[in-house]
Amino acid sequence: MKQFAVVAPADLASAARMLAEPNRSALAGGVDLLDLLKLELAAPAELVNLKALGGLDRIESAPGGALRIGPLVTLNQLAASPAVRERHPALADSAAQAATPQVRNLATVGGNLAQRPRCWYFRNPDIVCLKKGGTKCYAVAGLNRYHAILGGGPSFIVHPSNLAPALVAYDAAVTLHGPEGARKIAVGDFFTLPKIDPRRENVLKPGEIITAIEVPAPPARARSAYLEAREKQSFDWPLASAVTVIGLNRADEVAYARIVMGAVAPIPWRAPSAEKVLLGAKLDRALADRAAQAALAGAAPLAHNAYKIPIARAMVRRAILRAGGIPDETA
Amino acid sequence: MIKVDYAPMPFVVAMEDAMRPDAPAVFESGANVGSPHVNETGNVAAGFESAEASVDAVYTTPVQTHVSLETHGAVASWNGDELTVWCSTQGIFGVRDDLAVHFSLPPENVRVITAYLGGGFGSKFGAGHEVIIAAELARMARAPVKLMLSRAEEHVATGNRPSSRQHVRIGAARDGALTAIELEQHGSGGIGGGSGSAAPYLALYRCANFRTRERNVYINAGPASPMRAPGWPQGCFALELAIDELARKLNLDRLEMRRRNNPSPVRALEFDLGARAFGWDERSRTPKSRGPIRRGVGVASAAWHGIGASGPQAQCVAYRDGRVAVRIGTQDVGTGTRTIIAMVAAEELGLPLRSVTAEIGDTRYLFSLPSGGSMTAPSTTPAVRQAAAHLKGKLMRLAAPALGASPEDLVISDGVVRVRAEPNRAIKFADLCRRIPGDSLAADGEHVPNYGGYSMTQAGCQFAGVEVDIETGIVRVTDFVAVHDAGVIVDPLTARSQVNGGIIMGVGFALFEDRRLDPQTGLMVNPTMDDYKLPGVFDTPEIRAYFVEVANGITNTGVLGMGEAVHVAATAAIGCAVADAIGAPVRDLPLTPDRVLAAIGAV
Amino acid sequence: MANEPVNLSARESGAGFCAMLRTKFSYFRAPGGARLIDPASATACYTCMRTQRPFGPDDRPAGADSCRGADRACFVTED
Ligand SMILES: Cc1cc2nc3c(=O)[nH]c(=O)nc-3n(C[C@H](O)[C@H](O)[C@H](O)COP(=O)(O)OP(=O)(O)OC[C@H]3O[C@@H](n4cnc5c(N)ncnc54)[C@H](O)[C@@H]3O)c2cc1C
Ligand code: SF4
Repeated sequence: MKQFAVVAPADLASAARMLAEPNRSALAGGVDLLDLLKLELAAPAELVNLKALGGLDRIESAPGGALRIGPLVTLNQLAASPAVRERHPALADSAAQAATPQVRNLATVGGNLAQRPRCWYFRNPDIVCLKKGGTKCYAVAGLNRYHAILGGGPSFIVHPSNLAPALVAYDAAVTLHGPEGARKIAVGDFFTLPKIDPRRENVLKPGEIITAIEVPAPPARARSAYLEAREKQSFDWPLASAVTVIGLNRADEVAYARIVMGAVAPIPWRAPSAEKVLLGAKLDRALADRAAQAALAGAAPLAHNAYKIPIARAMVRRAILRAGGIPDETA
Repeated sequence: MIKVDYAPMPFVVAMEDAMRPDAPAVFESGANVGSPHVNETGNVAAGFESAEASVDAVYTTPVQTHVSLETHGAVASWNGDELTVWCSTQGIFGVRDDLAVHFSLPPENVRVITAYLGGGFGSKFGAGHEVIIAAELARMARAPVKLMLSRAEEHVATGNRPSSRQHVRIGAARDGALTAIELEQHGSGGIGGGSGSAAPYLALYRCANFRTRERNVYINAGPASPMRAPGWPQGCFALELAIDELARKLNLDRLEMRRRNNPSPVRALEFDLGARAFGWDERSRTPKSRGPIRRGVGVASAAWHGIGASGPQAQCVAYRDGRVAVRIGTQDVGTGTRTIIAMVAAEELGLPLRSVTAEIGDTRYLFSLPSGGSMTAPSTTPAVRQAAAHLKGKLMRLAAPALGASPEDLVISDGVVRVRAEPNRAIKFADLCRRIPGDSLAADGEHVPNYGGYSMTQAGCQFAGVEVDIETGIVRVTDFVAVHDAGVIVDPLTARSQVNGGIIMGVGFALFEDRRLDPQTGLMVNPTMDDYKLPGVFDTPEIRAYFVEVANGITNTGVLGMGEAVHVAATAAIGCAVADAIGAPVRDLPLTPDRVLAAIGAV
Repeated sequence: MANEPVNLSARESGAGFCAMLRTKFSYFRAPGGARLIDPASATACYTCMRTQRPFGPDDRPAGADSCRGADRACFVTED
């Protein structure tokens, strides 16, 4: 590990200025950053400690149910918050199922969104892959059982964040503060595909800090669900996850639908074709099945990860049924 | 300043590739595929001829690494030409002797201390490079040097359980009696050897005709080292799955199939006991499913040779202040050695456990063996018991004049020495110790050669229950019943811990663990505890352990080791249960979702 | 039988093997007092004390077959 200094900014503006200098990293919980430092995948001279800034660790809820989540809110805080549980249970569940209790106590929402991928070629200090400025993605011809089945190329990482698919499904927005001021963008636009730039996973510019995540109240009568499939039940990353937000009209037809998958693509992967299958129809198992088929219709697996397709499909189908209140055989 | 020039060389990291004639040679001096170890009895061809049904299938197991929580390493410190090493080792005397050879020192100049040890599982015998490097650096630096390996180094360079590819042919008569077993095995110990897995084929079931051929294949990967029952978990997995497949063809209950070929009267009893505790009859016959969740059960046999060997010597000392210490140069690999040694001494001396301290893990104490092969408990406890008995004799001779009786008429229990015929004539142990003429009274004991004994093998069996989600291929192990002979159980708590650990390690081998090597670079892609997946709390089944305490008469304690016996069958039982749940065998470990889904035709 | 789990009494004694050859059972002793090295074992993992690796200083594999008899240049006689 290279030597580094930890600095405490006085306010947001100075934090943004410090971070705009080359070789600086924002430090939140440090869960991912410290790993990157140990692997020498990041070697910043200074860590700008966001915890020195006040007021970024709160969850505020508006009367209608909209949430404003500070970037330093921890995953455990998010999972346990009654306000989040009530109107945005899929977000709470996505936090509750991530990592381990110890990690969730440290890991923050901002850090979760900005964490680097888990690809074992990326994380291997002896390999310089496309994402690290090299010339090839080793997953293409290598060991790719956990890699992308959707949206891949030229790099095939999957985005590691549990929260991101839930935030996309709830139409959340992030506020980014940079040296030139603030901007607010949809969480769906925060993440970026490798074909645009394989070295990055999001649009954060130098100096920009995630300062808030705003989650609107879901439409009336909407119900939501988060499900993930893990090889191990303790301490593991999902093979695939699915978030569904479903609103029914008075005739019990689907009037509103969001379907987003995690761990299958380099970004949280929304499936509009699957949403279309649901819209205007009455929910039942067969419909959920068709929507799940549609969600994975475009999947393009690599040599060793085609098995993730049926798993993702099962997650989508089950999440639809759960959100739709239809008894799930695995309940 | 050291300058290193690297040049890429041809390499091979997959065993199948290494077996091709045009594969790069791992050693310039010879072929990648070694000559076979052959075991043969009877007439295999005739055995298959007389079979009613047979199975012919290939099973594979991956490389598993030890993942001791404490990595390999040492602190080395010199004082003139005397070297002291605090070392994470399963064999303090082995490390001492290796260091003495390396530094050309008399062994008494080297002291090795292992107060506690964070696991070894077979990977920590002798002075490895990390110990020697620490000692070399300490000598050059003229200061103590600590060197502990990183987790990645631990995965890559300190040993592993070799892989296997087992081509099994097995036949049985209509009644289930095995008529022939044939194994063509290849395994890779990386740049090392020792990858055989035939042992269980020869030991677990009766079969007059068998032939096993084991060949080691070199690949460019870290070397194998002994790991918890070398060869057995691999062999058991393939053999037991093949037996299940055969039982299905013969339409026989899988437990009944095993009973009919079981050579061990102890295991016959264990099968009955385990089947009742597990509910085998009911659970194996009623396939239960809840939506996409399929349940299955499996059973597998275990065996090991947990008897001890001579060599260990112990010393038992009583002090004027009433303390008793038992000292022996063994080490506690995490199995509870310290605890059971104190228990054996306390029981022999008629003292409460708290008045005896066990002092181990230092080559200043009398010699004991490395902790391996499940030999520590059966090798050390007889020496400890003898030392305690000898000390008791001395104490009785000390007590005799005070009680006006002859030593043979005295007994000691609960910390009081009494005249057997007149229990009121007594002296408390603490008061007796005050009569010790100097400061202490000591006696030695040793492990005398094992008596003939009842049996040289110990039997066991394990039953596993699993749930498989057939839409995701994800397997959960729900529960285990383990029935084992470990001779006299000294401490049920530490014995059960061994069972728990053996099964949890078996869950890892069954479902998750795989040292994955990248074909493009030869590098291990998962040298962490995140990507190299180990079972966690939620992956751990409910485990019930039962002990059949066979009075084996092998030593003065009748204790058997159990670290390995409790591990060998676990993965096999899970494999059999998964096949039962989904109606198709998954013949390759680990039983990951991709393989389960492929077995049921979902991908 | 070579494939019994562990049968110390049946193991061959260490006679004739290089003094630098190590395997788990070489830290145990046969009844005659020699180090236990069993060429019939299919699970023994050998290392050479000179390199602490599974091969000798000559880059050839170390093992019960190859480290017996003084015809290998690196061979060291047990004293
Ligand atoms: C064993 C383990 C298992 C895990 N399993 C899961 C899982 O199942 N699902 C899951 O989603 N995650 C999982 N994680 C990841 C974990 O949730 C993230 O590492 C954590 O959320 C990162 O948050 P942090 O506050 O520690 O970020 P840090 O490590 O402090 O920062 C991470 C990155 O984000 C940047 N950053 C942090 N905050 C901000 C901000 N406000 N604005 C701009 N940039 C910022 C940092 O500069 C750094 O580059 C796991 C982690 C571990 C160690
Ligand atoms: S390689 Fe040479 S020095 Fe090493 S053990 Fe074998 S014969 Fe001895």
